[in-house]
Amino acid sequence: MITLDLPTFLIGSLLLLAVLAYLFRRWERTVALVAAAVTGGLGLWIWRANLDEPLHRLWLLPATVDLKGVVQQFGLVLQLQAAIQPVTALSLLLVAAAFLLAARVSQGRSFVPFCLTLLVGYLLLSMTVVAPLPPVLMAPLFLVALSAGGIFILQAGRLTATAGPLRTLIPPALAFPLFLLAAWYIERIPLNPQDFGPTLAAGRLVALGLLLLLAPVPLHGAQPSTAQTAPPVVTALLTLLYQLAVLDLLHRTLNVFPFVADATPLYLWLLGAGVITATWGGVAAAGATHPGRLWGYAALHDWGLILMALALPGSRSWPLVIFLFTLRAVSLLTGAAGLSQMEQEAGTIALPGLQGVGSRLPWNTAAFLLGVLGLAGFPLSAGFTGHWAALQSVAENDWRLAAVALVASAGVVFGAVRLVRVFFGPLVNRSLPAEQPASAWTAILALLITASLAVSPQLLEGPVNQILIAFGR
Amino acid sequence: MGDVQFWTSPVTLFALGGLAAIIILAWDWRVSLPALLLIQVGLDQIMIVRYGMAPAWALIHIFVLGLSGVILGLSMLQIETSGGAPHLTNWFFRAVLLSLLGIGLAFLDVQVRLPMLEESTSLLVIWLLLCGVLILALTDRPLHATFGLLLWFIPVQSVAPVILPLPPLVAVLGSAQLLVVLACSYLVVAEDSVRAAQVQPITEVVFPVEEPSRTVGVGAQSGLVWQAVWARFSRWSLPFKRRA
Repeated sequence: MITLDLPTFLIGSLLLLAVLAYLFRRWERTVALVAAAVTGGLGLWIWRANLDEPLHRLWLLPATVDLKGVVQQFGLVLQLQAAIQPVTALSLLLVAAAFLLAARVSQGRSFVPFCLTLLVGYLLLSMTVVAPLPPVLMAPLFLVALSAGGIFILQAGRLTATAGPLRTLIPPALAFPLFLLAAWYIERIPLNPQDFGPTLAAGRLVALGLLLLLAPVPLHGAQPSTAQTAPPVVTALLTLLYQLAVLDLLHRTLNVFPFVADATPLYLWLLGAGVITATWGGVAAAGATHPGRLWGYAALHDWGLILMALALPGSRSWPLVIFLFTLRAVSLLTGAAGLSQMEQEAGTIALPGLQGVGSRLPWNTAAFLLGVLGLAGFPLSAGFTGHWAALQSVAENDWRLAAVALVASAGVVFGAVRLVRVFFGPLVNRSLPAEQPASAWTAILALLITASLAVSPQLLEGPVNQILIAFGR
Repeated sequence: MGDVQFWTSPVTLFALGGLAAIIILAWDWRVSLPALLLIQVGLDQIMIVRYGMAPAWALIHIFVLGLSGVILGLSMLQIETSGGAPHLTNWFFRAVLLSLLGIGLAFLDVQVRLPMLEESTSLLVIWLLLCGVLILALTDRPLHATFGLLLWFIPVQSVAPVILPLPPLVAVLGSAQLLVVLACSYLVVAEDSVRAAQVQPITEVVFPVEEPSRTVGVGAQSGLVWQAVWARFSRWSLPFKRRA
């Protein structure tokens, strides 16, 4: 019986799967389905795993996995700790959902293998417990590499503008030197605890770096641009993976270096950045005529609200952030499911080609629109309860900021209503095929999930609580 | 001693800063690549003679930058249009912005001081970083954005071993830089295909060619960039084949 450490097992199996997926990349659907089954299975297993009983026997294999096993390699120590267990599981589940959508509509032949390699990178990021520098200070440099890797699947061999994928590099590239400088100051803190200079300098540098990594306006360019040109499922997945990693990094940094929040008005910065981001997302969405771009601006508005929730005082902040992020994932993936099918059938996501698309692809069009509306917190969409709770909490401190965010969300709704008129107007492209049953059922499933969360948000109570308990450890 | 005086003299520091300004003013990859190499060599020399950085690390930096140059150069060889093609700005506008940046840095009494570095070296590093940001702000095109990113990476690469002398950090920094350049050179090739597709020869207008792969679906689009690259590479290598 072989005993494997969990990091070795996870990274090894995913890399092996990536190699196999690359070799068999011509069988796109089969490869995507198998990869979805493996990543989904691993995600559920890690989500449910009890770290107090670390040894798990593998099904059908003469091997045991040590969940608390430690791997030391290249100066890094990797281990699955309780605090990052939900983030690791969530990353795997997000990738599995994206693979399921990619099995329906191709997102490029290299999507599955490249995405699995990127996933390994994100898992390394979350599982690193010891590194040459404190892991939270090394993480931005890893995010630069991961963003660079993501460019290949965002461009996906398409003959389209390259600005979106290129802009994904800018926030982490601008942020990482600040963390390296902060590392120097943090090393100096124990030498003279009476001198607050190094603490103050390190706190400012880390806070500014975190703000850059969160990519608020004006560093938001990647979100709408990639949504306009890149494959929709890839856009949704990479946006979610990056933002999940940054939120986790923010949480861990504030835990490891509590002086960051004391040395700077970080929460004020987050609030300001959130208000500006949410407002700009709403205003730009009201004027956007490209469905992909509108989707990107809606996501930006939602992200602004998450930044505002991060700035909330006391213990309300993180539960709300986790709740909003989960609903964001559902809305983004629902939108991606609809938009990818519309693009597959029409060959474009620009408006002239999609006029009247609702008469041929009603379920997928509805899925896309509900995804966009969910990002604006429209009633009866997935995002409604999250947005409402966040706006209420913000209003308790300053009702004017909540009012601004609410007006901005009306901008997204305005843009979506304009799209409804175009999508369900007269059909221009008469050669557009009617919706296939399999495609319609996937859209219906996405709509059902979205509607269930809109009607019964308490379904998320268990998962959100589990993440909170893990974060508190 | 002479080395220390030369590499830390104001003239050398101004020359290195001037090279960054030349990259912005010339806005041409044939000028930018050698200028970046000179900046890397100069900055590394300053770190070696003045701040005691191990010379081996300078060699690694130059190797990484050289490799980055080769990767970018290969992309440039595979595309038809020149890297100096349409800009959003002209040289005068860029000169005005550079002047504003220089005046701001000189007269606003910026109090940012990098740890372990003297004021003059700190100013040079900050100037280089600001030039990198300026390039990123001025362009959406991958080729020039790569130069902006390299101008951002070079000072960090040089200063990091002085303030944090950790070999794994040098390795991670170098790997990240190479990955960034690799991704950007992929975008350079993809961007050129976009422009090539927009400028159609007249025969293709008269006898339109059907492109089913571009209209059928998303999956069919993947790989088009590499097909375009292969076609260009074949055309480029034709004289060599004939000679053989």
